[in-house]
Amino acid sequence: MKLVVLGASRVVLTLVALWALLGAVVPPVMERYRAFNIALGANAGCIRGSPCERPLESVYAHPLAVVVGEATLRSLALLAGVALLALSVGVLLGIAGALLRHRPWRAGLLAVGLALVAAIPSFFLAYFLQLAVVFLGGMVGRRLVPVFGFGLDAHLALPLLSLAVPAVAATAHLTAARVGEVLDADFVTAARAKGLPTSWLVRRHVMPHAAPLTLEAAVSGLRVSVASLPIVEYLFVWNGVGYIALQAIAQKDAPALVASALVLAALFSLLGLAFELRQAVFYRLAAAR
Amino acid sequence: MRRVDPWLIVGLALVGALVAVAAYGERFAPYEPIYSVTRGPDGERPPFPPGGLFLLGSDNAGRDLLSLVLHGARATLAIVCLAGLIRLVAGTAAATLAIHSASIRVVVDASAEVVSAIPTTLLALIVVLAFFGPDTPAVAFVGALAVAGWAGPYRVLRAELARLRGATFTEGARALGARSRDILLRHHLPHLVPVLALSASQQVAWSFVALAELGVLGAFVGAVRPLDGLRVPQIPEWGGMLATGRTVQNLYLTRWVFLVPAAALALAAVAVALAGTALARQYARRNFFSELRPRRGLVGALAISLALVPAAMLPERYAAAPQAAREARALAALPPVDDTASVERAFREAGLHPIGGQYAVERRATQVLQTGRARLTLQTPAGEVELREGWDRESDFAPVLYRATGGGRHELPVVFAGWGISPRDFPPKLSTTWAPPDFGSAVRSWADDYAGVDVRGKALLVLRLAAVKTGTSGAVIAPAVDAFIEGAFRRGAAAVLVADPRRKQQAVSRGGNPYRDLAEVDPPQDPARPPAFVVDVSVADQLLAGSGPTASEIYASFSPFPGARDPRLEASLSRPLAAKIRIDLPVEIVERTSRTLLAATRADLGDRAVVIWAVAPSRLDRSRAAAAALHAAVRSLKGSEATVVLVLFDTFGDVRENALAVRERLNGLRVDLVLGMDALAGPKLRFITPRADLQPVIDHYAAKANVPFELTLESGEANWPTGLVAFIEHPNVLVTGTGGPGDRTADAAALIAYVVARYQARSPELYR
Repeated sequence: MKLVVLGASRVVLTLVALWALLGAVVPPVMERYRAFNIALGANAGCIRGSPCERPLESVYAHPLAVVVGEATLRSLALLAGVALLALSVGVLLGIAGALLRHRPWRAGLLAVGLALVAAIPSFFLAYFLQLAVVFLGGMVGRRLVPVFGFGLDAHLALPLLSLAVPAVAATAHLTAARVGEVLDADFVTAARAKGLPTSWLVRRHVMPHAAPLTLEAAVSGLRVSVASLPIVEYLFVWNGVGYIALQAIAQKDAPALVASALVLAALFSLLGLAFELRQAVFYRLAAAR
Repeated sequence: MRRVDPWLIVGLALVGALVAVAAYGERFAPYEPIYSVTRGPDGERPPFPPGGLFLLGSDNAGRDLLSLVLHGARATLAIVCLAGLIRLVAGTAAATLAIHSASIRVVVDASAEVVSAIPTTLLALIVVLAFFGPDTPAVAFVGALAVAGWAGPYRVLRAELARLRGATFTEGARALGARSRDILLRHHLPHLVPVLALSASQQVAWSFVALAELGVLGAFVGAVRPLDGLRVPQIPEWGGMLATGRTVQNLYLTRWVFLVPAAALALAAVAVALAGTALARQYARRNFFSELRPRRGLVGALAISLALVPAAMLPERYAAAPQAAREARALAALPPVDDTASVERAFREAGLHPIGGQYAVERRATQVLQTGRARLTLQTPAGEVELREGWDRESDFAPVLYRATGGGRHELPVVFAGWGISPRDFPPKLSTTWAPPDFGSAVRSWADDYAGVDVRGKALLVLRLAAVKTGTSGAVIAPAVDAFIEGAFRRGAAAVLVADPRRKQQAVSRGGNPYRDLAEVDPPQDPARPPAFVVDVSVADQLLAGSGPTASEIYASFSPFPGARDPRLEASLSRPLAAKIRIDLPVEIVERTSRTLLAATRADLGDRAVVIWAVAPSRLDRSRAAAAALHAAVRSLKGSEATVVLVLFDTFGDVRENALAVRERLNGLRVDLVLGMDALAGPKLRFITPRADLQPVIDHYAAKANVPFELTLESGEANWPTGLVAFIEHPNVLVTGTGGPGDRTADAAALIAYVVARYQARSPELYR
């Protein structure tokens, strides 16, 4: 409980400090930017005084809180997908890697592949996913999945993949290492000697040991995804909170930028807190054992 | 000999290759970034595919991608390496301080928490915006990437230092009395080498990504020019190239435009990451510093110097051009020679050849001109005041000479006619609900300024009205000033004084002065017409003093513009005044021969040429600075193999006809570039060109010739007569001063010499 209170206070203090900092810095920066009749890519061609300089409240015809709130929900939809993929595909890949650990070529190939994929920034991945989908679509002669736009349907595929692949790879990498360790433990050897099937072993005996680290890896991957949200949402025109932050810059709307940056920071800090609490609980349990 | 990790050799070789590309890429690139092809051999538009015009294809602006990648390597690597290094140094310094002081640790931890809470790209973008402008400096990007990324290395190094601090060897060293600094430098630093190497490579690789992301979001290093709806950065930094290459068309059809810079970025990131990882592995269990013996260090330093020094020694492309610019600048520093006879003599002495048998193209012409200084003397109850003519800061008035006005000597009583508006002069136009209101509708409820005053035979003072507010945020622009002047003349005014608060602002503008534009578009015809002047608000204040609100007070009370439904305007501001004005404006019909000089560097003109076009006297400021610049540049043309045509253009009479006479003499010669020079006053030079592809070219030339200039970010045409209209279909650039104090004659001469030297060296952008 003490840890939760301490962690939550730190998150609150961070957000307050950030609010004060952005509140002091962003308005003059926006004012200076407004002085130049230049627009960023999100709004190229936007000229001074034209409608594209309208505040986001006016653009979306809703109060700022509603605009940012709805955008946050759209981003959370992506992040939930990322978490789901990291915990399902990532764990399965990790278990596969662990089971293959005594086959050097296959295990090495999987490990190198996962490390490489984890190292690809979401931004590049987004670019090349778009390119691949367009290319393949051209080959088969029909549109495979949309490469731009928002929608809780096929539109989800590419932004979700761009954000999830690094998180999945990181989760799989750590899960493989931990599950491999547990599979080599004496109690597992004893269980095998008794004739227990591998699937049973993994489900009932190995995963409970590997779960804390797996969860940590997934949360860590999610933090990377939050950091990549603005650029990925921008590339796929997914109007989540990252996109709103960039649109606020293009529209020279300081309050909207501060609000959306604070939401992103809150997501990042809360995931950090979850990560630390999970770690603390895990190590306390380990010490108790 | 200890075994060296083969991956380290591969990594260092790749990094070495990158450094070589950064050092030598510009020199060995097939083209400069300013060279673009706007139409392919079959008239197709860029981007051009690989293997055709260019080995790796072209970008959307028609520039060679290979050349851009080679040119951009230096800027890209400099930015990301510097940013990565600053991140690492800042992170290490913060970690070292934090590990030794709990209070510092609290502050640094909190700062790191705040910085890392915002996504890196967003934070970097906000920092870049703080320095954003038409020419965002590279240092803004270095700063942005550093600010957004120092927290990562800080966390890693703090954890590592904390681990080392608790190690037994540290305790032993401390027990032996070693100081903290010695422990850090002698014992901890060798242990930190692998972490530092890995962290450095990660930071550089992440900086590559962040730079590309900033480019995608539209934040580019250096000047950015609009081109067909795209924004093209002048500095071919790889992130910017990747960003501008990501259009829908490029995604579907012309993928090479972004694949080439993406490949360059990816290769560079892999090389740096590989070198860092291999270095970390190599020194995981070895002491880097003990292996770094002085002799090895010396050999290494020597090898690096040998590899990089030639880059500094190699002459730049077109090295003769800056030299020619320097020579021309030195000649221009001598006392100016700008009269036509001296320039003709200089042509002869430089061995330049006349075109069509003689240097001069002469045309007989008449023109109504102001032949001397204008004098205005105010006679007010406070006394007599002589005003100063001109457009500079100290001046009070300027004549407005155009078709409806003239000159002469007059002594007239002054009458004030407010805004000079009679709603009858501006009948409202029929408009729909959706159309913006017209001026007539806006002022229809206003009082008639002529109703209460008799203006016949008097000098009329009116206040210039720029616009009228309509509704809460809209405004309708007032008609041009000639409508108000002619309205006064129709009512019998003998002279008009227009008080304009923006007069001095317009004095330094180029092509934005409505009073001078009137003279050029619609020149004066009859010296006997009544005179008109534009005067400062201070002059109007002197005339209005003691009779009611002054001009300054009126403008202040209606700031920024009067409203269409302002009830105060239902009564006119007009009133008779006790002041008189004495006017002396010498305007005459002048008949003389315009004499334009024309010479070429080759007797046979060949089939193509560059034309240097110096306008003297300028119709803008009456100066002959362009002639002086041409005179200074003439000597640098000796021995020219390429055809350069020099023109000293006389603007007297009909400018267009004079220019067409010159063009006729050139007899269908293909003109690769017309470089016009006119009115060279101001702190910087400004370039006006209708061709988007010439903007980076002329800016690049000016930078190389060491000329102060304003970036050319938009296409345009000069709207005062320079004679360049005769070459409208040829590539043309008008060089002019930005206005105000300063003389740019020497810079213009240097630029002429530079352009000619490039043309002689067959620079491809001039032979398109």
